[in-house]
Amino acid sequence: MIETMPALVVFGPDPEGKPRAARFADPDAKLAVKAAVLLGYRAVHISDPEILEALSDGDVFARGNGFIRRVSLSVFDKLIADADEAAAVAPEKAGL
Amino acid sequence: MSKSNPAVSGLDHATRLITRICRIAGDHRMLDHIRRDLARRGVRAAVRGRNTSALFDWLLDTVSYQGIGNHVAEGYMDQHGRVGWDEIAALIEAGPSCPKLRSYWHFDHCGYQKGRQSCSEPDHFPECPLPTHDLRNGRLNQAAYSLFLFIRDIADGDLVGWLDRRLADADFGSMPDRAARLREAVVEPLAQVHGVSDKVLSMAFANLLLGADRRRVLWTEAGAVMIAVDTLVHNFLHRTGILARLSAAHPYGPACYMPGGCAEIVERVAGNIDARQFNPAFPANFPRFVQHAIWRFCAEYGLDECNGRQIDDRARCDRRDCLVFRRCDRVTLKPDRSNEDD
Repeated sequence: MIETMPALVVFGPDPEGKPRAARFADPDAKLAVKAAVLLGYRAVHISDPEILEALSDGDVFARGNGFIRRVSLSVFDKLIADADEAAAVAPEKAGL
Repeated sequence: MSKSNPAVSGLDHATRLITRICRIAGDHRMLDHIRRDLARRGVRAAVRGRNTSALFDWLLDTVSYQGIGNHVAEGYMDQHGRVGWDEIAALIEAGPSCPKLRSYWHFDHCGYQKGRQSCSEPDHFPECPLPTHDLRNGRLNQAAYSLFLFIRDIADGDLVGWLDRRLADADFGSMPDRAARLREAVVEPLAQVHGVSDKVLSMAFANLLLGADRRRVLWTEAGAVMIAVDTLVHNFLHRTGILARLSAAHPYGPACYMPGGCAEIVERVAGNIDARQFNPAFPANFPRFVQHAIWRFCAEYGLDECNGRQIDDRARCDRRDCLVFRRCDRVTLKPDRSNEDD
């Protein structure tokens, strides 16, 4: 079985309470964690291929809701369960 | 090349015509002129000293010219003043109450309208620093803060270092799309700054990257492929028949920067023109020079040949004294007068 490399995932409810999440590639990880902390989202490393496939790529240069996209509640719930087991990415790693 | 392929023959036609335009209107000392202008405005020194504050002020000045004649924009700024990095930094440092001013990522849908003195966070409007600057319109106020927050939060306050890193990360050796990758490494992120058009962004960064520091080889390479498409360039490609021959007709605007749009056409044509024939110091592939030559050929402040003042666009151009008259398809620009003026 091929193991999936863990990827950085940023997620959380937006100001309207809608679930949002996206994955970020390594070159953008530091900036993504910085934005996540400022916007009040969680940032974790996830290796569950099912969740990672269900997420779109985030955009560290997008403002507002463009940063991470809306996701379905089922994906969001799975993400929360996985994230509770995974270690959160420390903000100091993002240079904050 | 097969003449039966209309796209290929369209590209040949465009290449022949635009090569002639480069001979007639190309600024063969373009790099010298850009360097001199940047030196005069303190930009070269700012890059050497990694002075983000001075670079921001220059960039914002350049952005302020978008959408209006240069003399009008300059007159307004002379009369009403400008806004600079230090002023915005102090106002942000004071901790305004509006949640949109917390970071670059928060600054979305600000909605400030100068005329109506309104925004999307009316509870915070009385304390908001944006309206304190008397810029020409509310979009420029938003652009100033969005650009400030971009440089502070994304570039960690060091624009020169950020440009170096972005270009180094996009430098994957000699790939076919190398030029486009270098350009996009800079333009794509900055295009998300509120209120800054692709045209102005390309124009400002083309000059900065081409002329600020010749030892930064990647800067020069990226600046050479940045193309600014305005109505003059778009309408030239329409009137000459280049768009029609390449089946690339589109209205002026964002479509000019989309696949198959004006920017891509100029880039493809430039790929067929070795710019070293005009100046041995030029890079062989120099789309910015080619685009600038087209602009100069058309503009009232250039050769004043191909524009709405010289041509009655309701009919086919009949300017027989035009230097490319015989090579031009002379397509009517607005037979129904529904297109945009230039």
